[in-house]
Amino acid sequence: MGAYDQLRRKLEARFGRAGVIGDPVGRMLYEYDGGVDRATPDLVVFPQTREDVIAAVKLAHQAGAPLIPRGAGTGLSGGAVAREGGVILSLNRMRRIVEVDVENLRARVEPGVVNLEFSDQIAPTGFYFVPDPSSQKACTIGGNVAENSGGPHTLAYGVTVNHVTGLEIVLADGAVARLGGKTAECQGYDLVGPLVGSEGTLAIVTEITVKLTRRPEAARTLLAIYDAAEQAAATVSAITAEGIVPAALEMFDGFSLRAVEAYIHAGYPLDSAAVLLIEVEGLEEEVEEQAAAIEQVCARAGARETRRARDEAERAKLWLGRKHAFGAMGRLSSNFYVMDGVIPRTKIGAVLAGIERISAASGLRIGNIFHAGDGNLHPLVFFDQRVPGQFEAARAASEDIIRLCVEMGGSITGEHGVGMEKDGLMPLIFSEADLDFMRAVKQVFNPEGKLNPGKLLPTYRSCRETALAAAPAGAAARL
Amino acid sequence: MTQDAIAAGVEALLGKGGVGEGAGAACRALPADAEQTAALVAWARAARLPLAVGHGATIALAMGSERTLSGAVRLDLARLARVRFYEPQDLTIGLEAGLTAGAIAAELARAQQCLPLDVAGGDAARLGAILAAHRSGPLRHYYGTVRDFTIGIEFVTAAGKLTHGGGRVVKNVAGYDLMRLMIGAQGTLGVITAANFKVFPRPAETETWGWGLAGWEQAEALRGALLRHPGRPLALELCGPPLRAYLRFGGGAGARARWRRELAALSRHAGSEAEAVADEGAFWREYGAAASGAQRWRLVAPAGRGVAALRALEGFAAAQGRALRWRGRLGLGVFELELAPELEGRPALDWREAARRVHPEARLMRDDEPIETVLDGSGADLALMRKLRAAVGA
Repeated sequence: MGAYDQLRRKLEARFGRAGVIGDPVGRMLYEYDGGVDRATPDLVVFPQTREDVIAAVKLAHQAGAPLIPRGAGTGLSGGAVAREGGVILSLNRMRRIVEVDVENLRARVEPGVVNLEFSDQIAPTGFYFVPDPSSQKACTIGGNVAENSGGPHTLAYGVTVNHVTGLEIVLADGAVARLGGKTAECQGYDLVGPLVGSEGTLAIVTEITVKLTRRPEAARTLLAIYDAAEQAAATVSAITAEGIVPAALEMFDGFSLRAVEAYIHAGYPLDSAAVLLIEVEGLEEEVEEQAAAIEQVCARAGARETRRARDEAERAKLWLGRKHAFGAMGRLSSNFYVMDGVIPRTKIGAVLAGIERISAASGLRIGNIFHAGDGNLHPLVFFDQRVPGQFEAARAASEDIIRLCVEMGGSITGEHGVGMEKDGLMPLIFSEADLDFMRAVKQVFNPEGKLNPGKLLPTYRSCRETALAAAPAGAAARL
Repeated sequence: MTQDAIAAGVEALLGKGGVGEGAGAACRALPADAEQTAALVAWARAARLPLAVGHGATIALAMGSERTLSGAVRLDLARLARVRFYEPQDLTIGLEAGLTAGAIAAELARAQQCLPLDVAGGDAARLGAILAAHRSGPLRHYYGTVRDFTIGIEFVTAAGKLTHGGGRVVKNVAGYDLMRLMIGAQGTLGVITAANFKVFPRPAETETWGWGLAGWEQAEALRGALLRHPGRPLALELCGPPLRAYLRFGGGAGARARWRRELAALSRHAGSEAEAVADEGAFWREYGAAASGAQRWRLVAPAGRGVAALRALEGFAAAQGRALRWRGRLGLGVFELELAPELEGRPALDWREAARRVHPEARLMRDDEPIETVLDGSGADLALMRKLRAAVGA
């Protein structure tokens, strides 16, 4: 009898047959997330309570099995993929909203609570949870914590780490710790900070204390239309130079907006080279002033036209195009690779030109829909997996884009995480001393390395390989 | 090693300008840059010399503790005072730890931008100290703390290795968030030598209005009204005695006119008429000034329990014959307290307990309390912190 057969029996004894998947077909459903990497887990288990998590962690620990926490599986960097096999701990049945405490501007939720469902449920209070990734209809708050997720509206309000003040965690040996809480700061070191975005490599999160944010009174949504992508790119830094920080500032290149328009009919002009989707939020008087100032900036930067959404229906339609953009892209190609890189926002024009060169050299079409306001690019590299070599070519083109981002002073990921997609690229932006410090942090929480192995931190071997291949300019990305 | 030998060793590493009087320590080391800082830390470790990290006048911090100051090398980062980069259109800046809040504000003012470093100590406060102690001021209400707008950090580990976290861009999730970990660690996990920040456009115009409050009920009512208000003020402060609240808001003419219209309704909650603060700049500069000779504490409570905790502490202080002053973030439950004469022993324990009785998460911390004292407590979280300190700290 294999080690996993024994573990399966023990897990089934604790969780019942319905609480464990061990058959090959069932396990296949858990071999991927929203990204392109695949690996088959040996078992999948479905805890429903903290005690369930502790029991599963202890059993996996005793068996020496890797343990991979998973939310909705919408991540894009392979974070929830069982790279080295092992047990997937599927947390999406832990979906209780434990407490909504408006007086203290906090709520406590279990990790499987779906992002948008949470904000919808607490809508009558007038408050919401800010991070709004494109997958917010499906992704879980636990997944947001693991990946430190962002979204269009994090430009003004920050990413997940700015909206989490407390965590209940289960460590690799089954011990429980509570970090932070409802207060604005905690005693001692801030461990919530490094836990958020740790991609399941430090602990299993079983409860999250989140900040509640008052819904804005008013919003203005503008669509700025350009005949040249460079003008749209220049507008981004011109808006910040004007002293305005919009709630969201998104950009579509011509190819992408046409693909989205054909699917969603959001009202993006088909003959334009680029559009900016800009939103300001706040008091009625405030947003009116800011929207007027933005219209002037767009005009000065060469916008052909700037339209304002006249009502909530128009606003929703404009946003529908953004939220369903990746789905629209799926109509163009059987496969596409969604990249995630960050650059200083003043470099958008130069990097878009560089991406065009990479596209031409690789022979692969690349579209761009991204969070322009914070320089968070999401190039979409189209390929056909059935054509031999195309997947590899898409991956190579994607890595070239990431290297370009790093050369421009940027980062390898702004919101999708490192996962198993980019662990080998970490040496592009971090020195061996930096990585050693992170390994020391990991060692404290996850000494045997069984929690989500093969993620976030590179192995020493891949470190050396990437360092050898890294462009000399890579070092300039550091402080 | 003799005091002279230590000074000679430091001079050999840092040059003549790199060594000074120790002020209680064997000598003061003034490295010129991060590399020299790393070399000094490595040398001190090899020579088994204790190292005390100071950031200038405002806050003295020790790697180890103040008890080890005698015979130690006092590391002073005053010469690490360069702006590494400043990209106004990217809203990013890279700053060395020895820069003062005043120098940083002057640099950013060139492009009408700001970093909300309005801590007690004002313009003289050094960046390294603000980061090491996780200091914040009234503008925290709107902008958050340095933990929210630090995008990259450089530090020297206890082993003398120059190490980085984060980067130079405003959005970045690569690797563990070492910024948040190092900020507030009081130098016990490493010496911060530089940090990168996202900066903010300076509000075109701001206004400050104040209320005299008849009692704690009015403070609570005002907090509740602003909690549900759709606007986001820059600051909302409660101070006393006498009990007063201040609201600061900014924006264009229309936005500020709206806030002024709202003042009448807010005044009903406050129980008094709002009064405009005439010279805002001078008011906020003086607001942070601390009383001399008082014992300084920080109260951190869930936002909705801050007033109740303050009220309980005022009662406790009065019963103990102590004078208590407070000022802090009414909307966030974070307050700075000054107590005179100071409390020690059993009454000091009861004082902490008075806050905790209001809410189990309400905490009173002495301002000069070394982090070791906190880590000595019980709890799985503190056990993890101790392990972390042992793994990477001094």
